Amino acid sequence: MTSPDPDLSNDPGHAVIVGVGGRVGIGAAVARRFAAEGLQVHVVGRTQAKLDEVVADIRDSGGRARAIVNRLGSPEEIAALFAALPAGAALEAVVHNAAFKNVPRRFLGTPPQFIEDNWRVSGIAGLLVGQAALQRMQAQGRGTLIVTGATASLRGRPAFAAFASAKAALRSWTLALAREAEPLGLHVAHVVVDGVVAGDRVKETGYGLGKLWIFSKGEDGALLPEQIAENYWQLHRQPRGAWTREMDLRPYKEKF
Amino acid sequence: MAARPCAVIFGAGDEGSAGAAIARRLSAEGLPLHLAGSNAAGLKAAASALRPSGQAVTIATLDPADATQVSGLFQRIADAGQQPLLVVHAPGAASTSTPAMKTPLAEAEAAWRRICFAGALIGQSALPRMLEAGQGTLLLLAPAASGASIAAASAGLRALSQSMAREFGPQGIHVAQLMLAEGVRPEAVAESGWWLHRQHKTTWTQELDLQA
Repeated sequence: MTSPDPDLSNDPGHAVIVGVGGRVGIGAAVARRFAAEGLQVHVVGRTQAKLDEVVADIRDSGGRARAIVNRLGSPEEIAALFAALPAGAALEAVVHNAAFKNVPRRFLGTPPQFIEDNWRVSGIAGLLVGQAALQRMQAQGRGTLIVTGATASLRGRPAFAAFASAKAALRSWTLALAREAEPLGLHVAHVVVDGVVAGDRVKETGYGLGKLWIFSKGEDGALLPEQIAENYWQLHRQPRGAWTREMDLRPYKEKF
Repeated sequence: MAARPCAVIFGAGDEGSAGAAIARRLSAEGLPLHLAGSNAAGLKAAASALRPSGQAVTIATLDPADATQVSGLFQRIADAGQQPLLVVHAPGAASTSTPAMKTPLAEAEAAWRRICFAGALIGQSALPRMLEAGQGTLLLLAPAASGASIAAASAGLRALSQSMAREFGPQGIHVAQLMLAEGVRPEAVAESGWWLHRQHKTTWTQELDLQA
């Protein structure tokens, strides 16, 4: 399912942002930031209506964007994301930001299916997106892949066993991709988002508890999606003589 | 009558696994042993190597990544009047050299099931038994990272073990992670595993790396 393509003449290069949900979130903010630099942005998520809003915002500000519904369910479905790009178009950047709903769950009694779903969506989908992106970028000899990590990428806390396990595996895969991709001229970076994000996903969690959580962090106690997006753009802008493989982003008063 | 303590070792028959060595080390300590895993021939060989010790050894051929089979084994152990004091997850190494950029989903998934997912299922079945008894040690072994699939699955297992340790440590259960480097002798791993099991609860290790 793809929305009608806007004008593709004078192709400025493309960015694919995977894992876009609500307007206020990392995915949407990154899409807006990269579109503001003139890239044609492909906004990928599960919900057409949400994607349409993000695309409309970008187009209203004069940017180029299209919505792609994709559930990242299989290597074939993921490959289709990149096959949909115009032939010969330059794929400048791919951001992987998809994650299974991150909710606390007592370890005993967690259904094995929940553990597996976490691994599929928060873990291995990132490898598959990365593989497809890098394969496409390899031919052009340049491009950036940025993968969103979390506190849980580095630390397994109680009640987050399934999420942490998936994110740690994703981090391992991403760093392995980085080591292989760098000599090919391709930049791969893993960003550890170490704190609560002031976005729709958290705000809509737990009957208002998410909002309360953000509020409890106080002023500037939660990461702002726009600021995360700014860092993603700066990573993409790094010259290849000094590439970052992993960076952490944390509110100034977050304990760690 | 109080249940008799026993040890359960998953992967004792796997090629290149430290499981068989751990079984040998434990046979010297007088614990009844349950050797579990998917490699029937390997389990048989591991068990017959223990016969001379006179130790009670039971074999369970099963898929450690199958929740029903894993919980079934712990039920049978309970039915036999035994309580798992030490449970070890020792998946074999099965080295791969596929680059991350080319790793097929099937390879990534197989490693994850065997190493990470199986560890979760073993924990889910073992921990409630240990909580009943108010004591127990769960040792999770990450095999030498001989490829990106193994490395990623081991990273997943390591995060899992941290979550379990932080949740169940305060309840008296010791969850520990052993990170094995390539070339580490199985006997050395077994000795370290026994050491961690014997640690006093005021000085528990959550993670121990073993370099060759």
